Amino acid sequence: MSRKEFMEKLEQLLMDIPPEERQEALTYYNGYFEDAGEENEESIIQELESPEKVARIIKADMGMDAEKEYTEAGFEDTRFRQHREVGGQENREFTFQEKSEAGQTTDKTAKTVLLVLLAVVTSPLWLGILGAAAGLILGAVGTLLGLLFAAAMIVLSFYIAAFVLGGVGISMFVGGGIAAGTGLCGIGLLLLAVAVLGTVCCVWLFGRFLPWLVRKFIELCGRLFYRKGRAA
Amino acid sequence: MVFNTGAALLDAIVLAVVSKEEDGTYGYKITQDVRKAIEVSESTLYPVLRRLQKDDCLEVYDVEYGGRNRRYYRITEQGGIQLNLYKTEWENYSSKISLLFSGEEIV
Repeated sequence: MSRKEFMEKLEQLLMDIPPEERQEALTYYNGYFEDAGEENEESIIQELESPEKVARIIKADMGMDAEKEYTEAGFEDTRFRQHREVGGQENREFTFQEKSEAGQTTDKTAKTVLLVLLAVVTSPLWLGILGAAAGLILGAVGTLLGLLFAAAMIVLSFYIAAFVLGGVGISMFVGGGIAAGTGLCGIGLLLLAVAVLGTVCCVWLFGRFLPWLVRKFIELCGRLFYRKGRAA
Repeated sequence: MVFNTGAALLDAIVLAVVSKEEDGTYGYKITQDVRKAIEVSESTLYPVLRRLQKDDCLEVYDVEYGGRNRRYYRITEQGGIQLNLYKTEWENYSSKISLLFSGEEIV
């Protein structure tokens, strides 16, 4: 790698720090190369090892700007720091790696926490939507069942009416009102016919239509979840 | 390198090196002088210089040299005070260890 390539790569790697800092660092190292002289260029690049390492060291130290105690009061702190940091340079680079690794796991936890929080905060919204959907479904089901029940009841009522009229008609025969009696019987028989037809319809509704409907519904649900499973 | 140099000691060394020149010196020379005393990577010193500058222990000025600007670092008054603190602390620290190594009792 040449000096030019080294510095270009370094500039790239420093793109995520403030421009002022970046410029300072680049100026320093350019000056460094200049002062060292061309004959030392290669050995310096070797010593610096890589633009990545240089960038990392620059960024690592920027993160540490917060802990400052260069005052007389900080005298004790410096001593404490000195003892703690027997690791020195290696300690710094090590901590940087730890920080980035810890950073990644914290990122995942943070994301999960954020998602949970989001779910809780928007819960009125999606709970409401779910509730409405459930309500709609239940309503539809209820209506359907109600209609079917009504149909059955209508058929039943036709039977009742048929027999009642038939009964009254026959009783009229006994009473002597042949015309009226015949008429009522006739109507009764008609009603009976309708009732029987209705029964057939009901049987079909309950025996065929309803099960078919239930099956179709289950199929639909299955397809929805199956598709979800495949997509995931 | 047997003993690693902590950040504070590194600051002290850099301040000492810079303070030797009344008018200050520049990055490459500072690095060479520091490396006479301890083994450090050439990439180690830039953050140290930057930090000392931000803490007002060093000040910078540019001098034109061979058609470009060469940045000089000079120790400030605060930097001098800090260096003295470091020197005292070092005397304390290193003498105790020396005593320990020589087998004498540390008073």
